[in-house]
Order: sequence, then structure tokens, then C-alpha cells
Amino acid sequence: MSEVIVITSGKGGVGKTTTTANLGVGLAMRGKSVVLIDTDTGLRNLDLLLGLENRIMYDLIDVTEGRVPYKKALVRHKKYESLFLLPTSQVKDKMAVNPAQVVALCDELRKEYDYIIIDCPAGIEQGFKTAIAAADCAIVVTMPEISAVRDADKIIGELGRADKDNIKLVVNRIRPQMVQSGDMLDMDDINDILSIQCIGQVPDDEMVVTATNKGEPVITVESSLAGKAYRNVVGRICGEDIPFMDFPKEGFFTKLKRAFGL
Amino acid sequence: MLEALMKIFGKSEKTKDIARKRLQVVLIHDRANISPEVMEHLRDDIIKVISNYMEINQQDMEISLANDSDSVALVANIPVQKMKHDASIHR
Amino acid sequence: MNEGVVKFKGSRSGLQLVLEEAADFSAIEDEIREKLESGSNFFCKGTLIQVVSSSLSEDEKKKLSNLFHTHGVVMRAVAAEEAEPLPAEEPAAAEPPVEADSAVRDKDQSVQEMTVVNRTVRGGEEISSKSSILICGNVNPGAQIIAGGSIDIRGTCRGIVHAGAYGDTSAFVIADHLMPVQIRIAGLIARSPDHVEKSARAERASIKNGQIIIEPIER
Repeated sequence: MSEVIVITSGKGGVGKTTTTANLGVGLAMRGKSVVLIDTDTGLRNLDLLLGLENRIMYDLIDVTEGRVPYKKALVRHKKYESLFLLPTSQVKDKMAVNPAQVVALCDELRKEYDYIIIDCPAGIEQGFKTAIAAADCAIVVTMPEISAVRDADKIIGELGRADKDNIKLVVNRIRPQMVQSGDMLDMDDINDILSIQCIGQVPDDEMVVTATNKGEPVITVESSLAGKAYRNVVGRICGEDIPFMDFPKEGFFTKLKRAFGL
Repeated sequence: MLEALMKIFGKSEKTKDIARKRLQVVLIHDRANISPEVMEHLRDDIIKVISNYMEINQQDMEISLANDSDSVALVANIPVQKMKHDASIHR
Repeated sequence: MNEGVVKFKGSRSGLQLVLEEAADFSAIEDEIREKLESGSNFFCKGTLIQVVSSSLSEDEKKKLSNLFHTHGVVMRAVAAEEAEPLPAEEPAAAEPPVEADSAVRDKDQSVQEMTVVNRTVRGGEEISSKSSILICGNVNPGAQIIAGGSIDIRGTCRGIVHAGAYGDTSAFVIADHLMPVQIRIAGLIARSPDHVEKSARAERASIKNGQIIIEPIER
């Protein structure tokens, strides 16, 4: 049974594309067949995060306008053979695709692939409406920061109005030290406001930056905490019951440094 | 091989340099993927300039951008009907 | 502020305009115009308003009717006997601590249906009603609840709430956790302090002595 998942957030810059790339690789690492679809037409980025930017021949618009069959536009991942990217156009804009086209495309893809993950653009306009049209499930990505949470709440409302009621939450870019010192919203606050099931708590991790530089999603890095968090999210998507990580609290030296105002 | 040796000796490429290189290539692509309108203007401007020097067959003229994995070229194929004798150079 | 000459009340048959007996007509007209132009989107097109008109002359009735008409509101003049009896206003000062549920029920008798919302109201949503509103869920930041009557939230209120939106100063707002961005009752506005901690008890906001006050209540 195939599943179409949309990764959305409302707010920009919280980690939708990063999450899409990592979940895609994570599922492929477990042998699932996955298609990732970039719908941020005009501002495409998913290709960069996967390191596939040099291999794009055709894009989503070529497919929806009937110029090529989708198989020709799919870019297979360098390393994970069951992972494919359907990139979007960098030239057109979000008015170039409509929801009905995406639904038709996903109906085709469902026949061949286990997971279809759609990277949604920021905002609540046409781009958003198009991206969510075919989704069975929505993952809302947010950060522990008030404007991100506020936008996430709005998006959850919009999803509900579009009859997309299967909504899960991933909280990204958590800084455990700041949560501990009370300078960052904690999970209780966020869950209380958003009231949807949380399937991911991903810490802020410098390795995400280096991973993006290289075009290799951080989920492949053993030593990365963010990578581990993403591996756990993938596990939960596959039905495993994985408890949330206990983030390392402040070590002695960090505390000392803070006491001296360093 | 050299890359592997460099890794062993701890001189692996800094990821920011990898990022910069990738970005440079990607931007060439992005900027080269210009819209049809711009292509039209480009075509008209080329016709205007070349027509100062020679008569060309506008119908059979072809202008396109060709790109491979790391470079872009503007390719123009313009059939010439006649060279203009009084090629007055309008500058 | 608003012990004005014009009051709007919700009644069984709809929206009613109550005019002060002794008031000057031009004061009445000015106040109505001000309310209509205030931009609070209560008077949506097609709203029917009853005006108890025994104190107005034909000419004055016509002027009011035109004024309402320009804002898309239909006015119907009714004689005093036809109009629904309005609930007597509770004297603000002597109000004993009323148990939340029964207070809301009292309002119910004179006010049409209470609007009930059985879910959390999310950012960007607006719930409005001419009568009272009951929310079984939270009111999230960015959400707006506007009621002609009172508002009861079985959950945490973090949004903007406006009770007594037509000028009913006896309206109140109750929540399990009252942490709104802004509370308005009738014409008064109160802003919550910058650092709000989640209160342990349910609280009610109401107008006493011309100010919005918040007191803990038992549910």
C-alpha cells in the first residue's frame, strides 16, 4: 500500500526540504522504493540537498504538461538505487502546476513506489494547495520558535479545511541547552498549542550544514545527533515504537563557562 | 586515488569549498535557463545587429543554449543570403 | 467609555437596537454611524436589525434606515410591544461570584442559540456569533473569537477574544487557562502582561467599575 506524504510547515527555513531529503534516504536505506517530488517551483532546492543537481534533464512541469513520461524525468540517487527525485523547474513558477495534475501524477506513481514524499513550498498560497492535494498524510515541520509555531498552527488549520486530517509533527532545530535554561519553547509548550501527534524531535546540529555542503543528507552520518533523530523518525513512520532521545544536558565545563559569562 | 591519499593524510577538502564549487556550477545552469521571452528579445537583438552587416534568412535562423554538466554555450545558426556592400556600421 | 445612547442587544428574534429615551436624535445618529464605520465586521451584509421606534418620528426612522442601508444592513422598525423583552442588565457592582455554568445558562434564556465549537480554534480562524460562544478546545494565538454575548473556553485561551461585541458590558470571558493576547469586553480592551504563566485555575474576565478585571473561579 503506497503512501503519499507531504512535508509542510507554513514558515520558511524550518527544515522541510532537509526533512524530505533525509526521510527519503532513510526509507530507501531500509529498502523501500521512494520518489521525492520538489514542488517549490522557481526556487528548487531538493536536488541540491541530494547532490543530484547536475543530473537534471527534465522536471515536474515537463511531466505535468505531457512533454515527457515521468520515468524520463526521475533522477535516480547516486547511492540508493530505490530512491528517485522528481525535480521541479527553476524557470517557471508555482502557477505552472495545479492540484489536479499532482493528484493524477501521484495516482500513477502509487502503482510503482512505496512512498511518495512531496516537499511543499513555504506559504499558504497556490504552491501549498498544489502540494497537499494528493497527500494521504501530512508531516508539519516546525521549530521551537514562536513565529514558526504560529505558522504551523495556521497550516494545521488549513490542512484540516482541505480534509487532510492525518497530520503528524516534527520539531526541528531544537537546542537542548536553551530549552534547559528556559530560553526556548519546550516540547510540552509546543504540543499543548499544536495538539497533534509528534513523530520527531531533531536537535540543531552543525553537521546538517556540512551535509548540505556535500549534498549527502545527514541521516547517513553515524555520529550525528540530527542524523540519529531522523533515523528514529523513519523508524516511527515504519510503525516502530521508538522513544524520543534524551538530549545531552550541559556538561560540567559548559556550566562553568556560563558561570564566568563566557 | 589522490583523493583517498589526501583523506588519509588529513587534507580532505573542506566542505565549504565543495559547496562553493557546486554553487558555481548550479548558478551557471540557473542563469542559463532563461525564459522564452528573453530568448525572443535576444533573437531580435541578434537579427538587428547582424542585419547591419549582412542580409540573413530570419525564418531559418536558429538560436539556442546548449549545456552539458559543467558548461553552457550559446549556439547560433544563421543562413546568410547576401553580404551588404555598404556595410555602414551603426554605432 | 461606552455608556452611550445606543445599545445593541441579541434577542430571540435577532439583533435589536435600544435607544435611550431622552437622547438627542443627532447623538443617536452619530453613534450609530460610528459603530457602523468602526470596521468591526459584525454587521455583515443582510443583517436585520430591529429598532424599537416608538420614540422616533417618521423622518428620523427614515434617516436611520438609510444610514443602515448604506452599510448593507436592513432596518425594521417595530413598536415597543412587538419587540422581545430584553434581559435586565445585571448591576455591575453588586455582582456575586456566579458559578460559571449557570451564568451562561441565564444568558441563554434571552439570547438565541449559543454557538458551540467542538474543536481547537487555530491561528487565522475567526468564530463570530451574535450570541454567546462555547469552545470545547483551545483558542490558539492568531485566532479570534467575537461574540455579542459571553465566551466560555474549555481549554487554553491564547488568542483574541471579544465578548459583548455590541456593547453588552455584562458579558464575560471564562477559560480554563486565560492567557489571551487581548481581551475585549464591550468597548474596553485589556492586554495580557508580557510574561504570562499558565494559571492553575480557571479564570473569568468581566467588567467591574468600568474596568476589565480577572478573577479565579471554580468550575
